[in-house]
Amino acid sequence: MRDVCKSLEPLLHDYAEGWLAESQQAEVLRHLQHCPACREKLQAWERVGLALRGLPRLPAPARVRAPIADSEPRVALRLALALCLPAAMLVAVYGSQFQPPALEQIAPYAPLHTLAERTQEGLSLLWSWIRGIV
Amino acid sequence: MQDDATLVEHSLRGDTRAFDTLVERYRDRVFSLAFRILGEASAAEDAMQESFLRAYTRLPLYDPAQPFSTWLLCLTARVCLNARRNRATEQRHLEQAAKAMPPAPSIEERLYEREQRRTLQRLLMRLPAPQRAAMLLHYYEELPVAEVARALEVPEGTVKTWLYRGRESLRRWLEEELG
Repeated sequence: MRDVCKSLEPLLHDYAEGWLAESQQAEVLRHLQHCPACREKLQAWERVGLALRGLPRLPAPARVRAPIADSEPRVALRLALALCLPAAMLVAVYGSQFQPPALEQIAPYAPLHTLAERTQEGLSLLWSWIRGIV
Repeated sequence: MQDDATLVEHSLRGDTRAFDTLVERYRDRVFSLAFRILGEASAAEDAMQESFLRAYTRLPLYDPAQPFSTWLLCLTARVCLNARRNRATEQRHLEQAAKAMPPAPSIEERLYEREQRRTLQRLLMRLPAPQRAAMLLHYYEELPVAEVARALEVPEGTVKTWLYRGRESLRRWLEEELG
């Protein structure tokens, strides 16, 4: 390679990329007119660029899933476990000792009696349901 | 068909199906880029998964002035380069790649174009990883130099030098290999 070609090589690449100012372009063009070696190199770079652009797109493997669809059930499961496990442990340890509060304790006053009755029924149902599950 | 900007907007409002659509739209492109940078399918799969996860968690930081595809591909390139920095992972992937390499090309693979592509991919792997990422983002994904520089967190001048050296190295190696 001639010295002039070597010194012009980075410019030659910038020319191939279209990054040169007009004055520099003219300088490279003048050189190219008289230098078959640099013309050949320019064409070879062009072929490399084309070959890279022509690399095919590859189909992603089907087993690669959208990360969100995968992560959401995991989060929901963790949350459910975090809430249920302590409750289950409490029921297992203290379940046999627990009795729903007596009606008099909840509603010592007559106007609240009806409401308290329903609350007690509800509590009893809920408690037997939880014990049933555990 | 909804455009990327609308899908991003919906994703930010919590619509995970909108993000799924973006994943479907770009999965092949992200996988291809990751494979070209990492040179091995299982490493590319990991990088693809990581890229989409990162894209989802960082979606609030995405600037809609930039095309979503550019943002995603730049993010993918960074994920791939980080993966390569993990020496243990790299070693495992290199070993897998060596095992996956067939001893001799099949008849089908002798087709000239396919052989050239295989050679090009193999030669690409000889380039330093950041240089390879720059080459692929610029020539394969056709991103402008400024975007490549931003993606790889280096000055534009560095990217230009990498592109020049990368193209010259590939030219020389291809000439040696193919005559």
